[in-house]
Amino acid sequence: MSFVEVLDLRKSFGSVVAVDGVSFGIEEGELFSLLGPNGAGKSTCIGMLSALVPPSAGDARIGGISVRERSPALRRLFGIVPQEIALYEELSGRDNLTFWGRLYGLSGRGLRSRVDTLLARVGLSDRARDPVKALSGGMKRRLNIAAGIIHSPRLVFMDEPTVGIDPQSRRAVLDLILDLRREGMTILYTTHYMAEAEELSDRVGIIDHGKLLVVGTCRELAQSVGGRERLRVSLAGDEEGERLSEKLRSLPGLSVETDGSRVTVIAQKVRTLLPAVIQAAAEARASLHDIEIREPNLETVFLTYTGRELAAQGAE
Amino acid sequence: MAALVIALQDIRRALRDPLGILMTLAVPFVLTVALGFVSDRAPFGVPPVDGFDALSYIAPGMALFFMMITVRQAAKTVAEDADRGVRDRLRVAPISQGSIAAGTMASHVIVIFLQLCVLIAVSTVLYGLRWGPLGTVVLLCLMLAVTGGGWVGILVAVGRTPQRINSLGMALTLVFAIVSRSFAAVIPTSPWMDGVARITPNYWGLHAFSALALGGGLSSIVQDIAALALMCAVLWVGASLIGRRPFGRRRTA
Repeated sequence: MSFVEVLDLRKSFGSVVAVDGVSFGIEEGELFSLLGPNGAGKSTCIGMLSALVPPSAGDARIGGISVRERSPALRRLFGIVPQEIALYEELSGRDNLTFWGRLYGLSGRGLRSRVDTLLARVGLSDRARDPVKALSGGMKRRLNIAAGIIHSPRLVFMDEPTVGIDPQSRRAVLDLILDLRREGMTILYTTHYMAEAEELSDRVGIIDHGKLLVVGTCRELAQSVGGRERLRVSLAGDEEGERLSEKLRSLPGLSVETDGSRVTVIAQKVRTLLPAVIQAAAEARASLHDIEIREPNLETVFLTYTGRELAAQGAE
Repeated sequence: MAALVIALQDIRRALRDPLGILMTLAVPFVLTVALGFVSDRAPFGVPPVDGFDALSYIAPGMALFFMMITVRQAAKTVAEDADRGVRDRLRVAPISQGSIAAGTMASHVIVIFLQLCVLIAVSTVLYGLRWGPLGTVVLLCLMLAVTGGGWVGILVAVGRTPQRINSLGMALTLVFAIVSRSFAAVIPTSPWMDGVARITPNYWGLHAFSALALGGGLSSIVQDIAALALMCAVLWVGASLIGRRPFGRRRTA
């Protein structure tokens, strides 16, 4: 039995189906990412798993306890790092961590020690007395994570914890998450950044329009779409795209997709086809503006399963 | 225990909010002093023995006016916490929803109570204002503070966003002060306006403070206390029905 079991979980808000029959499992010590665009249902999933949002149907169990119970025993098992900086801005980082620790039953020397340890860990020992509103975005994000793990939970839900911060701060946050993973903490991570999902995750689930489309390791997911590479050619106009597509379709061992002036060739080893594609473009009197080769990665997987690019979607 | 932790945390926050302290304590304090000068009353002087004492009417009216300002500020804080995800983080902690509501409510009730006490103490010490028997005055302040907590709940439930709560709260503060004649006892009023005024805590508060200032005791304000208690119950039931857990509601899914 998995540590986290999600069983046909559904959530509707009126006529809008936010999560549509999602099922997956997370093993203890695993970092599982839900990857999807804006409005895919990631945050609603976390809301249901953290017992904040009651499911419309289905169930989820954490450590064998149903989220429908909303019991204190269940809520001690996990911590949450919401997308927002869920901290008291007027108070210092130390005061915030102390407060959240008290709510989880920590007190006295144990609480002080835990707060000191976490402040050092997120690199905020020297800013511990500053009010949260005086900290930078990256510092707030790190403190937000510290507040979520103050009680040393077995599982932590992280809902897009790197949104809105600069690359350097993002790196610091990702390193912190990798450390937690190495220590054996079970993490459910949501993101719309494919690079993050690839770097952090043991397994990834791709979610779109409330449906979980596929689950697996990055390698498994790449294999699931045939491990094929993509060669994308950008041309001057739609007519040239049509002419080039016709030419390319006569070649064996590849498939062709056309989107106006962009033609995508999908094949096992697309690099070997590059001379043939250039020659076909010359024969089709199509002027090449750009050529891009993409190896099978999560973006390819996302594109294959959803029919569109994740990078084009907004942040949730 | 969790309720106490939350209440103390909220009070600590209130004490670190300069604007909040200014509006809650400093402005009423300064206005009391200023009104004393306007009423031609020297600080630490002898209060008038007979005749109309404007300050003795204006001071309670002002106390209730600022109570409603604090109610608005408190409701706005609750909504801002919900926006920032702090309420959600509280709701996933292993504590009851009742503790969250009680802790949040307690902190606001305490702040309102302290605000009333400060104004009463300042006006008593500086201008010798007669508020009535201490124990009864404290009981009335406590009842008003709890009713203020009820108004916080209904404002959060109805307003939902900090911006709307701000506007709605300001409108309520002004309307309540006007219909209950908080600052102008001599303005004639119509029966229907008197009826409308009865839904305001200002009306019952002013009525009770006046009765106590005129030498009445607890028995003279029983009706006012009962009316405030009923108002408080109605507000809390209303807030629960409209907003479903006004202090723990998740506003977005």
